[in-house]
Amino acid sequence: MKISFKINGDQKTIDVDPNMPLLWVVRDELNLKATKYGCGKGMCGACSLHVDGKLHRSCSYPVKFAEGKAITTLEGLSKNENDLHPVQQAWIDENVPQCGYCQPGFMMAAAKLLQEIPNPTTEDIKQNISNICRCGTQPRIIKAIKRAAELNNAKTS
Amino acid sequence: MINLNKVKLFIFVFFAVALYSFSSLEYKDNDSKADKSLEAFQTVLEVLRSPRCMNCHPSNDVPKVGDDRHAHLFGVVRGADDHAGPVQMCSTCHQDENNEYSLVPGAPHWGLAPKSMGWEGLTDAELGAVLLDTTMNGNRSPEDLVKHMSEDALVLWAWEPGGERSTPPVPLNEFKAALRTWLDNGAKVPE
Amino acid sequence: MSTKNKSLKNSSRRQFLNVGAIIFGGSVIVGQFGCGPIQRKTFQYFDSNEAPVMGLGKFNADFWLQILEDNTIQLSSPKVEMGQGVFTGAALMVAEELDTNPENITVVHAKTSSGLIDPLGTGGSTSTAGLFKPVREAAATMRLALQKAAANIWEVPENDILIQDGKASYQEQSLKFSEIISQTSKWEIPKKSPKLKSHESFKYIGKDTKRVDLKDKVLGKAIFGIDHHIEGMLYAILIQSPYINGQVKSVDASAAKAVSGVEHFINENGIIAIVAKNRYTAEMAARKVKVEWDVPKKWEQKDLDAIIQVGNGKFESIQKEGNVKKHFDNGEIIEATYRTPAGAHAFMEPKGAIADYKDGKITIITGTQQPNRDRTEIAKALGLKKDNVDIQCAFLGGGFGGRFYLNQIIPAAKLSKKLKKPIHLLCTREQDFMNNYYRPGSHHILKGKIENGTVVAAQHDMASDDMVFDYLPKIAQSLIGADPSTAHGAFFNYSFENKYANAHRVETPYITGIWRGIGINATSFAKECFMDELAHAANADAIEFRLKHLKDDKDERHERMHKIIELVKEKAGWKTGKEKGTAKGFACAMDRQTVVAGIAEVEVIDNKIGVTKFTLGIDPGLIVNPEGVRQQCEGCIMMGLSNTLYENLTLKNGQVENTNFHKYPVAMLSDTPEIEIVLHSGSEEVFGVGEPPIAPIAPAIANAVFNLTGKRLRTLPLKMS
Repeated sequence: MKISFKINGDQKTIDVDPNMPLLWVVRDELNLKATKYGCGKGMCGACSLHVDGKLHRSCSYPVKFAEGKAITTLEGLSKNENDLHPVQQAWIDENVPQCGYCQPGFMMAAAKLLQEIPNPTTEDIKQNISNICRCGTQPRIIKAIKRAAELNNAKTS
Repeated sequence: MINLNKVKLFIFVFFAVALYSFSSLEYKDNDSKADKSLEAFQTVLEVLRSPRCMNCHPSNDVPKVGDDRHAHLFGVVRGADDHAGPVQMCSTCHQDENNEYSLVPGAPHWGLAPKSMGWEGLTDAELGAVLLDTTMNGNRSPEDLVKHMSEDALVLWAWEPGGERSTPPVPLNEFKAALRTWLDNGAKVPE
Repeated sequence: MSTKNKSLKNSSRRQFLNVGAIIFGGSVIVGQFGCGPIQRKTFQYFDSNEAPVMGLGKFNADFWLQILEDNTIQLSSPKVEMGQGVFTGAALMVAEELDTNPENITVVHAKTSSGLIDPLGTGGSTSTAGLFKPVREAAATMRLALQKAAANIWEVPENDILIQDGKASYQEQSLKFSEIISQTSKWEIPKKSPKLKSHESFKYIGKDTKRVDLKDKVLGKAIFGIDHHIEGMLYAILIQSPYINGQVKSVDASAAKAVSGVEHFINENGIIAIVAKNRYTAEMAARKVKVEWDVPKKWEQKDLDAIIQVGNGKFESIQKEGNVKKHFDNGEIIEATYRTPAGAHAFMEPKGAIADYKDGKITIITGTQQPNRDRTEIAKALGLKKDNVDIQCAFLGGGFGGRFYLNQIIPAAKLSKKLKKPIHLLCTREQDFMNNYYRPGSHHILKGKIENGTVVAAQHDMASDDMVFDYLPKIAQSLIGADPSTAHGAFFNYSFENKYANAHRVETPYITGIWRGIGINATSFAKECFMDELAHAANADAIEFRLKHLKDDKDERHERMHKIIELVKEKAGWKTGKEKGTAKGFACAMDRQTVVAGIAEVEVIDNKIGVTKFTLGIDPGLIVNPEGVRQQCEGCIMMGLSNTLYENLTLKNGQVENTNFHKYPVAMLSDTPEIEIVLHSGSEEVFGVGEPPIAPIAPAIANAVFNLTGKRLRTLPLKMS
């Protein structure tokens, strides 16, 4: 089945099984590897991305539902490397990643969190992101999200 | 010679008896309607109390999962508009249909019933009252209730939940009939 | 050491270097004692000394340092990057000796085809320590070679040439390293090991430095094993038994083969696999393969618990000092039993590999902790010479000891050879949980006797399965006796006069192996909780009681431990009582030469234990990158907390019950405590950091729970009811 959508600003039409999870479409058909496979059951958040501004776990999102929509993966979160999204800048400022595998999903969730809760408390962060990190970067993720909020505020004020 | 007074008396008695009989007949008919309604309500309750319905009608803010009705994992809670969030919504993982790859269940507008329609821990009478109270049931008339409970895509999912999930103990058509019977016969609830 | 003059043909990529300076001499102590003591001493040597950290010596390998066209210096690391930050540490070492900002240094994985990979693998908290001397020597040699080359270009004495910030300069003139290379045809490499910078003069080592892989990991450019793509690649998925030791009885793949996009169904030599044109098809088709399994025994958790019991299995004495027996003959003996569960690594990148067989050679791209072993195994499995097997290491999506033995690379290699196509083989999360090796569960009996507030005798008996024993050479097995990983930390480091430790090696039905911290997770939980029990029995402050028993003049770790305990105690504001619904607990540990101490602060709400704060102090000797050490400590706190409160791998109906994260909960953002890390460098030597900090986490939390509730929880994961 032919399915058309925008991804990171580019219009794409692909011909795949309509039930193929967006995860595998993004990774294997479009060669965007930042979106990761972690559990395949919507439990770990490693495959998080945005579809029409909503947060989705792409292993649990058949590509057919993306028809006509706009997808953003981590590769498209920032305009360019010299103008980083506050979340990515904050992630660098706080030296967050260890192995780095779960980080794209966390950053996509964090970007959505800041849209909904521009000045999150530690509790807001803890309650609203349930992604899994095994290296133990959680303390830095919390700091980085707060830092991203500051960067965001500085940008918009 | 006919004793008029006797006739009058007879007529009076006849009518009195007839009236009495008639009124008692009517009373008896009402009685059986109530029984019917109450009986049908028990059938309705059996369905409403099945995990498929109850899991999304919690009285607290925690959605339940599975036939053992355990709390939804990963700290998922009701959220401001019953669809979790504001960051991770139900739709973050649940789409309009069951996902054959991730095995995450799905149906249109997947989410919780409003808290006013929380059914956990209610007695039969309380649950019935909640169903009928338009201030609590989403301002639904009896007709609206039948429509919601027998036509809404998310409700219908309960009878075709996929995977190894159990279905409600009563088939959909029997449930719908019971619902009608309950409502049409006075929507009686046990005291 | 030989001198190699390399003529550099290509002006953009230059190769250098010959330094093969290496550290470990393995044949220690052996032959000086009788049989039992030999085993004990050898075991203790392994336990308390830094393990063999580098095996490069006998391979006479080089560390390839290259100057790239844009003047960046590229180090090919023989150790893999799994998040532990070894690339960053190594970059600092190069930066130091070349006196050049670490930002100008890139680090990549060495390839096995160049023979550079460390044959001992990456793990055991040895990477940064192991690289510390050789990498600096390599960079220092490069510095001298560049100096010499620049001297030749300018025809001035080499000693007058300054090497700094990516260039050589002499008076007003300067040349970038890359320019020197393009003007040099013959290289003179110094014969002697170069003199290294003194620790006092370090400019980059010891300074907080962000990760060298930071930007790539934040921008999503970091490529992990399973992210690689080779043109024409097919996607394979294995059909594996969901039962422990299940054997195939019959297979019906008709439905799977009928799925559009399935290219092959393979069922030969023990490999059952679906190969399809994309991952989605492969996975969906694999679910349609119907297999009847022959299950010799349907294991239940209780069967396993019955096996893992002190008294079962093979007995090995690993510590025997003084006469414990004599003291235990009379008086009051304090005794307690502890248990820890089996554990899964559950790293976020499930195991996978890409194999590309072509013309009698095979390339494997994967995240592995032991590329050299993989290479040997693949060569053997495919009947190839080792030289024809190239393992290309990619970033690991977590290691934690879980990528030491990869069970999917050989099937990937065989499939590629058979089908003559590149193969992408990826385990599902379920396979990663159910068809893997695990940290073994353990059972501990501890006994102690106190006289006048002092422990006069203590004994630790531990039952568990092996982690690495089967992989050790036979000679080492007979020398060591007990598994040096499982029983790691089993003996007492406290200065008790009489102390015994015994390992009871039992056999469980599944494969067991290493997991971050190896045995010290279990042993320090049991010992440090028991130490708390002894302190309580002696009516002593938990910390004072420990300090009192850290008085061995011959063990320099004791003095360092005093210092780190003092620092942690102060930082955490140590108090034994309850404060506002919380209480604190203490634990400390010596993991080889690294000393750590931790104070947990916990609360219990609705019967659920929460860690509100963790203060961790570590003295890992010389600190190469404090920021990196902090990251590892935070990682150990979170993973330790996860292990303490949630993780529990169990068997049911012959299967591993934990099929995915819903059945194997791990610590999440909501569990994150406030964290304080105290670093102290009590030695000029570099010691391990990746694992030691996990040792005190579980006991500190359990001890805090006791201080809060009066309940002594002796089984992991800790549950209030």
